[in-house]
Amino acid sequence: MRALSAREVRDALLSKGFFLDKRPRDHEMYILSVDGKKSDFFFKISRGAAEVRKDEIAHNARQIRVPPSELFSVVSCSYDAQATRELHDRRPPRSGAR
Amino acid sequence: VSAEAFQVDSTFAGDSQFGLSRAQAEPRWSDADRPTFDPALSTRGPLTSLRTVMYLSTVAGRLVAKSPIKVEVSPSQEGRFSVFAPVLGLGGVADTLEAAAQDLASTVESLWDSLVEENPESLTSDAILLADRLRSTFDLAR
Repeated sequence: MRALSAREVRDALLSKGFFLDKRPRDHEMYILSVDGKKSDFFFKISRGAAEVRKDEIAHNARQIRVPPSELFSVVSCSYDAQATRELHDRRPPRSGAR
Repeated sequence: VSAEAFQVDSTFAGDSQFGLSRAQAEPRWSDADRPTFDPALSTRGPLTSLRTVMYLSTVAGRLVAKSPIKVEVSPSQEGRFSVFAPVLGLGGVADTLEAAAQDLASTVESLWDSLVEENPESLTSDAILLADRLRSTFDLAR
């Protein structure tokens, strides 16, 4: 896994079913659309960032419960839209104890 | 994200916890910023955990955590600060602890606006669960 240019990541996400939440924020939030519905499968990029660092990819992966290497495959274009959807579908359920 | 999104007080609550409260006027991130994170430590789990009350701003209004939220602090694989709130399954990563906490706060704000304020019929089942988790963790003051 390596750092990727933010442009490369944006292009990859938008080509695989993610849409950009256009609310004004200090970051860009991309959310995967699944069968026309908003999912909890998201990727966040700092606004104005030139690159997405390795630890940011790993951090995003933890939040959506997928291995960092597989999320890297999504944002680096190794995975196509179908593989991305399959990754979404086979994730463990959301957990978290109070 | 407001600078007061996370505030740390100086109460040392245990071996690996710092007390956090809204009552302290001045954030004291230096308490928790003190460790120099060695990426090699990342395999040993969280170095410390914090309990914090979060104050956030969304399009819908101001969010206040219903109770202090446990936040795990650990080094990222690049030696930066990583925070993670297990109850939410969300976190942040940045060069400083405060910036990592603000990263978490901004994620919560975004997801509140995107999911909680959305018609549930427009959400997947997992997104509904996350929206419910956020709704049960925060109060919204419109």
